Amino acid sequence: MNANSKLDVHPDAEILNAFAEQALEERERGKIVAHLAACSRCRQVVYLAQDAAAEMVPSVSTPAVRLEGRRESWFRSLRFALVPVAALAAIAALAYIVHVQRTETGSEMAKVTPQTAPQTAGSNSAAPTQATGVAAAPVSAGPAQSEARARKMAPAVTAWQKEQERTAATAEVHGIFAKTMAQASENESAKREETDRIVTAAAPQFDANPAPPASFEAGARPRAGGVFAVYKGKEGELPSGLAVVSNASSQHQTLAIDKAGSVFVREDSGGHWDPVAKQWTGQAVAVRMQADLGANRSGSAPSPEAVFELVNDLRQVWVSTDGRIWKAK
Amino acid sequence: MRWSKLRAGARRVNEILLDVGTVQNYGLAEGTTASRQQQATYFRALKLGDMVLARACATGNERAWECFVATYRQPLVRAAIAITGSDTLGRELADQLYGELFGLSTRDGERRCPLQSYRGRGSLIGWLRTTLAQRHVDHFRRNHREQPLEEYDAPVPAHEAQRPATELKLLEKAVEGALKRCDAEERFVLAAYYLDERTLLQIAKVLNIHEATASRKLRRVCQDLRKQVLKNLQSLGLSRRAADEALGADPRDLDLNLKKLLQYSQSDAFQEKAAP
Repeated sequence: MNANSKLDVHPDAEILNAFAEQALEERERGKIVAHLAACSRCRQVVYLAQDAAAEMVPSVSTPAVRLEGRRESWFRSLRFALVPVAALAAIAALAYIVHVQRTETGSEMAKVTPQTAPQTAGSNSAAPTQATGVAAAPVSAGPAQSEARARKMAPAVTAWQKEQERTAATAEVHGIFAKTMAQASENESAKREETDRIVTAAAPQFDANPAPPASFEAGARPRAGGVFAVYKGKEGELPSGLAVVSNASSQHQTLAIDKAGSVFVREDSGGHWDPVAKQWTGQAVAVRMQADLGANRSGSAPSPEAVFELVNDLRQVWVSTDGRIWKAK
Repeated sequence: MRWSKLRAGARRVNEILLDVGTVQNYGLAEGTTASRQQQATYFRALKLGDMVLARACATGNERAWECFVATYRQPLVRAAIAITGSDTLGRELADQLYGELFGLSTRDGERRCPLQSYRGRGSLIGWLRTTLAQRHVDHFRRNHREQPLEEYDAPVPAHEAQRPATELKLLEKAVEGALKRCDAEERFVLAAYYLDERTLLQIAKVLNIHEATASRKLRRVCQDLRKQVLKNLQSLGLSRRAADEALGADPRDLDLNLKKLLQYSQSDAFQEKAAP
């Protein structure tokens, strides 16, 4: 069969149509293209069929819809099922958004708590001199904003009270802090307004205050006492990232104990915290200044040679003059 | 009773499917054994609904015919009108095919329905359109042969060959050799564009490519052809400069039958013979 005689044999209408509808596999397709390249008759058939299809676009869809009936009926049934599914999804999304908003509000309150917490009279070495974040704004904010924030702070104060109760319990262990914390609770409402302001307080008589989870700087502003602690209202400033449970400051040094019982020391007002090697038994729960205690008791300024005291969970005491080397008392 | 009918129907459909798959060897080359996956792919591509309707009509099922008439009668007429470009001719063509489909023609005393040849590859409406187009083209070609050639062939202007016959012969050989090197798709693009004078959009639709791609393909084919012709001329003994000059020859001086050249690599046979 020569080349010309082979052209007497053409692909049937079905194959040509399948070619035009791209329904053939690659091998068959190549075969048809090869034939079309040579056969003007089949090319004409394909062109005409395509032109007719282009003119019949609306009516072509009619059989397609009918022929795909099974698939469409399946889809149609699914379409009805999609309505309740979509409604459920919307409800779930709404619930999630509300939950997230509440969680965010709660965490925001928790952040605000240490800043809004009133400082106790007895622990004013840790009194804030500068409030940051949300609490800092009211210094220049209008009365309406203050009122709104006061409303917002109500649960935060409650949270702070709970925190205070917890820390008070710790203080009771040592016995020394119980009175201070009780006074703090009593004076809480009176000092609430001061929480938004930068507060600088005189050095405490007893510097082993149960601190809220906030950072502080020592010696920000010297006063008569000469020992100051400034709350910055930030959590996780210690290298451990844990909240401070107790801190004490001298003129040049600040000691802090985190929740894990790790002790850190910082020189002057700035700089970074250095961890103190453990030289005591048990877990350190409080740190205080022996010198301050004596100074305040006698009503005079603290001596330059301040002595830090560290109390462990067995109520044993260690002393140090530089906060780094400790000896059992 | 009804259950047994359903089972019998399912068995019949299975037989038809197997028959269809076997006849076409599941779309594979002859001699190749189709794997189960290939068979499944083939069956999935079939328009089963269309095929069942066509077979039911071919066997004379009345309900099937009702469905067929309701669905395809009007599209069939419209397609025929679109193909012939004439309302009268279109309706005539559609009626003729419709009569054939209905089984008015018989062979060896047996009712013969073209729907029997539809095997579900491509849509039924597409098959109807293509069948109409085939009938129309074949009819036109038959009548075309009966008409005097002078009405269709443009008179060749008389002019003298500007180049020596040997050079033209070399050019003819070079062009022939270059065209033979083209693959099927390239030859199709050339034939469709230069012989059929189809637009790039029409060519692109046939090849299922973008119009811009068809344009690039055509440009590239022409460039490659030119390069190949030059190369062939040089291999036939012409210098580069002489080959360049030879390309400037008037195409009318060449004794080339592009149609024949493009048919060069036709090698595969198809199932249906062209209408006489």
